[in-house]
Formats: sequence, structure tokens, C-alpha cells
Amino acid sequence: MKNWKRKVGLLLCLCMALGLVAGCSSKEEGKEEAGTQTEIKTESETKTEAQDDGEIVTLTFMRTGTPEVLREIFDPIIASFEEEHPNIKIDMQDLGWSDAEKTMQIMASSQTLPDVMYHLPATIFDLADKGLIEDLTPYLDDELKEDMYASLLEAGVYDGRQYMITCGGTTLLYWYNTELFEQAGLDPDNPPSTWEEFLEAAKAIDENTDAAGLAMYGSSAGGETSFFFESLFASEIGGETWNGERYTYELEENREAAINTLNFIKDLTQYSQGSVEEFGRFDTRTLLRDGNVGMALDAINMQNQIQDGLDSGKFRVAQLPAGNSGKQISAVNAGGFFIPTNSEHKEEAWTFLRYLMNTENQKAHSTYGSIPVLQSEAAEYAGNAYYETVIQSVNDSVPEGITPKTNSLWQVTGEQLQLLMMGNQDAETTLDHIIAGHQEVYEE
Amino acid sequence: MGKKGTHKIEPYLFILPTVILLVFILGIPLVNVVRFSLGKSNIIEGFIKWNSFGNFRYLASSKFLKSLGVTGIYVVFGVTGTVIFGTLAALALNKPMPLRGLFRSIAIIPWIVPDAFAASMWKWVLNSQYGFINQLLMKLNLISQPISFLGDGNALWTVIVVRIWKAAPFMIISLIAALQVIPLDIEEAADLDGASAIQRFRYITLPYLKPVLITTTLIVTAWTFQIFDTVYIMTAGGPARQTQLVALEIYNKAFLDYDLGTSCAIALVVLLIVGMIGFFKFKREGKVEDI
Repeated sequence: MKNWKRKVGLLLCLCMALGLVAGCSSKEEGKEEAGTQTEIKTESETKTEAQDDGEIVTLTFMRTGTPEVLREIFDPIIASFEEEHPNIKIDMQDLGWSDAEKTMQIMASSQTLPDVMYHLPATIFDLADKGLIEDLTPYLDDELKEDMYASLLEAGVYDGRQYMITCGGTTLLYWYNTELFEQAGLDPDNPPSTWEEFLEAAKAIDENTDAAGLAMYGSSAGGETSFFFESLFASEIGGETWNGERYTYELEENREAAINTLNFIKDLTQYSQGSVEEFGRFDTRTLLRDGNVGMALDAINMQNQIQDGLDSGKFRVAQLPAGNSGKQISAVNAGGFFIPTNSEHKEEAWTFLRYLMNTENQKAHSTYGSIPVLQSEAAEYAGNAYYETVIQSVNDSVPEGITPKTNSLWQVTGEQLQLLMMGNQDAETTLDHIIAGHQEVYEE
Repeated sequence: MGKKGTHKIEPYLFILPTVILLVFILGIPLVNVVRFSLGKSNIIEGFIKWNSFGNFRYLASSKFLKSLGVTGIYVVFGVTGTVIFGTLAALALNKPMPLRGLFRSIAIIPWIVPDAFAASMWKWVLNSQYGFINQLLMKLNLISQPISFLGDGNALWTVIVVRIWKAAPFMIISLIAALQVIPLDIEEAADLDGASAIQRFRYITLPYLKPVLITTTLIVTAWTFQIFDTVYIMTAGGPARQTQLVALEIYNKAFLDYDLGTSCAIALVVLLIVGMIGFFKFKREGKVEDI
């Protein structure tokens, strides 16, 4: 009996072992099968779903962001595209920002990036470096080229190739509360246009109202503060912040301008809401909306938080105050569409991408939170004071410095700016540490 | 061969399913971590080329050493706080009292709250501008200016407190279970002999709790060493790397710097430390079994 039990036990163990091995191997085979199935499915979905009017191609499309908002924007666009192109179907997929970076790398590693996708240039250029992104230069038509703002078109260029078609972006804008302006004895119709005037206004609001002068953000999300620094530096030197290889604030001839910019940032913190290291850009939007601060230097996305106030005149927008150059210019932060090399339907993907870039579609897309990307789009806002300011800032903008190493560079800049804003180090040390940290990244 | 031979291989056949499972879920990832750590690697392309242990050079950098130091403080104070608070709470909740079951249930709530949710909740509650705690303290006139709990100089201590809040229930549950096996007659005899509460704890309770206390402390230490999500959500390692734990360093290297090689080199260090903790735990369990 005992022997019998042992034999049964042994047999069961062997079955389990075989099951595991078979399970794993069948998983591999399953993978292949799944791959084949995907291929077959893709084939069936994309090529062999023959209809009377020809083959049907299904394109996958992904726009990083809040799905429920994006679906409202893109569903009607996709419906009209499918109506105009009965042989192309669009399968829109969702991807939130929090998962985006990881998910994209995993999709790229398994060659499953969607046919058309939206993301940020640093990641796109990194993938392009690895040969995973299609060069769109041959596809780009003159009409679109001429319609796009030069700085935004350039924002999608890496290594001389157009890898990204910019469809969303922002400059750094100056938002202010007119009621707090009046309480502080300032003229809302003449907002500060220089750094000196801006500091005086911040001081006046801070001293004469219950609110702080301005909202500042210094949490360690390097991209936000790097953009802030880069934009102010652009207006200090009146030109480009990136020379194709490195940030121009790292150059010896711009040292004084860089230190002036950093000192300006440090001076601003004394009139801010305090504890700037706790606040990200998103957090500070509620401070302006709720009247806790009088001013903010922020992206176009601020609009979504204070739309009612903008309509009523409580809030207004102006161009970034000018530094020593006297030019009110900003860097422009962009995101855009791209086509991965793993797409089996590049022509169709471009057809869809190009359709998305039509004036009407782009205008709808911009409501998600973007400056006008096309001049034809901007023309539709003629006479609207708010948009005229925004459009002027786009006209005067310079492209933000982006490389495949941007995320690492931003981390360095973000950490150093945080120390500066917390008062833990001076402008000179901050600049030296940024340059040294960036050098390490460039050399990696 | 025959019967004797079959008996020799029989034990190995019995453990074969477990071995196969372990190879797939532990062995292959571990081999990959070692392989990626030895060369230039990224998530997309995997192992690219051998780089003469270049990834391990980062382990001697001031950045990494600072992260290791921060992690050390986080683990030491986090675990010590968890043990002290958990033990005191377990002792209190072991005493007969009305609604004891309810209090015990409340005590384990932090443990069952998902980490990401708990971190987001604490981030809002502790916010210096509109956080509940600052508003309460100001309304009670206990402070005149908001405290920047997640700001310069305070952030590390705040995340340590949150860690204690999150880990203490595990300690409480484990110790309550251990306290229940202490024979009542020994405590009563000590009471009759005039032993004070501290003496009873020192000479009766503590010896009974010791095996569980040591094991749970080692487990909590290993867990605390690997904490990522709570701190990532609350501070993202800031301000100025004051809460940059080793786990965050691993994430940043892999997903922000696209440097999987260095990320795996750091992961190996963590693996070594956690492995040593595990070794002591099993050694300890062996001793207990021997007893």
C-alpha cells in the first residue's frame, strides 16, 4: 500500500514537472502561434478583410494622455476619416502619461508600437537613434511645411531628419489675476514686460494683498523647471538655447547671462507661495485659480484650470517678460505624431497622420491643451486677444533643446534648480553643477 | 540500479516541479540581471556590448553613495520605529478591553490600503498650502506658519513616518499572535510574586516574543529596503535627492537614463543585501527549529 502511494506521488510529480516544461514550451510556441495569429489577425484586419471596394487596413493609433478627454476629441475625427477612407480602419488605443515611458520602451522592444502614435521628442529621438522611427522627411508636403510654425516644425527634427510632426506644444506664458493687480495698485492693462517690472509687481502683490506674488514650482520633475530656466534664458540672450550639441547656457560667452537668469529665478522665489520644492507645475495652477497667488509663469495648459476667469476677465495672459535682450521670447515645448518602423502600413499611417494635421482636426486636437501649431489654425482666432497673445508667443519662440539624452539632462538641471530655489546654493554654483552634470551625460 | 537506484533519484523527482518553477520565475530573470549588469544594455535592445564592469563604477559615485546613505537612514529608522510602535500597539491590543476586536481591525487598515493610494493620500494631507494637517494645526493655533512636511530637511523624516504607519500593522498582527501563546499561569505566578509590569515584560513576554520579533524584523527590513512606490509618489526622491532611495535610483537609471546596465548593477547590490537578510532569517529559523 505504502509503495503504491509513493508511486502515485512520484507519477503526479512527474506529471507536474512535464506540465510545467510543456506549459513553458507551449507558451513559447504559443507566443509564436500568437505571433502568427497576430500576424494573421493583422493580415485579416489589415489586408485580407477584402470587401467590394478593396482591402481594409486597420491602423493602430495611440495618443498619450487622458483617455476620456482624448476619445471625445478623436472619435469624431476618426469617424470622418473612416468615412473618407473606407479602406482604412482606425483602432484607437489608450495610454496614460504615468505609464507612457515604460510602456513605450516595452512596446518598442517587442516591435509592437502602434502605426501612428503621439509622444514627446526626447523619447522619439531615442527610438530614432535605435532605428525604430520612420523618417518622415520624404512624406512631408510643402503645404504642411509652410503652414507649421518654423520652431514647431524644427522641434520634430533630429539628426537632420523629420521624425516627429508636432501637433501639440506650449510656450511659457505669463498669467495674472487682474483683481489682485488692482488691489496691489498695479495696472492690469499694462502688465510687466521686463524682469525688473515683473519682480516689482510680484513684490507689490506680496506686500499689498493676502496672496503671494507668484506661483513657483520646484519639485524634482526636471522637465518643468528646465523648460522654465530655458525660456527665461532665451529671453535673456534673445536667441536659441540649444546649438545642436549642447545648451547655449553652458557656453562660456553666455555665462553671465545664465547666472543673471538663475539669479532672477532665485529672486522670484522670495515672493512665491513658499515651499517651492513641494510644488509641481500642475499644483501651482490651483494656486492662481483660487487667488492664492497673483501671477504664474506657466504653459498653455493653465487655460483649462482658469477658463471661466479668462472669459470673465479676472485672469489674463501676456508674453513672458523680457530679460536683458529686451525680447519677450520663450522656448517652445512640443510633442507630436510619429510612425514607427515596425508599422506594416506606413503609407496608410501617413495618410491618417496627415489627416490629423488638417486645420480643423488640429484645431480640435489643440483644445486638449496646446498652442496653435498651424498658421491656418491661428488665423481662425484673429481678433481674439487671448489667442493673439498666445500666437505672438509662438511666433517669437525658439525650439527647446531636445536630444535622446534629454531626460537625463533634465534630471540634472531639475535637481540643481531645486537647490537654487530652496536657497541651498547660489547661481554660480548652480550653473557650475549643471554644466558638470550635463558633461557627464554627454560623455556617457 | 533497481530498487536502490530508484530510491536515490526519487527525492529529486519529487522536488523537480518546484525546481522547474523556480528556474523560470527566479533563475532566468536573475541570470538576465547579471548579464545586463556586465555590459551596455537598455530595455529596447537588451544586452548590447561588454563594457569592462563600467556599470559598477557608478556604485562608487557620490550620487549612489548618497542614495545608499539615505536608504540606510530610511531602513534603520523605519524598521526601528515599526518594531517599537508595533510592539507597543500589540501589547496594548492584547489587553482585555471593550471593542478590542474593532481596535484590532482599525489597526490593520494601513496595511490593507494600497501603497499608491496611501502615498497620494499622505501627499495631499501633508501639503503645506492646503493639506489637512497644516490647516488643523493652524486652526488650533499650534503653528503660525504651515510646516513643509515634504520640503527641505523634513521630507525624509516624513516618508519614514509613513513607512512606520504602513508597516506597523504587520508587526502588530504577528506579535498579537505570539502574545496569545504565552501561558496565563506564568504571568499570574509572576504577578503573585510581585513582579512589576516592566519585569514581566522583560522576563516573560519578551523571551516568548523574541523568535517572532526577530523574524518579523528581518522581513520588515527586507521589505523596507525595497520600497519604491510610496516614496516615488510622495517626493519622487526630492527635494534635492534627500529621499532618493536605492529603489528609485534603479528606476531612474532604467527608465529615465535608458541605462539598464547600471540599473541592474544597482539591483544586484540590493539583491545582495536583501539576500543576506534572508540568509540570517533562515539561519535564525534553523536555530529556532533546533531548539
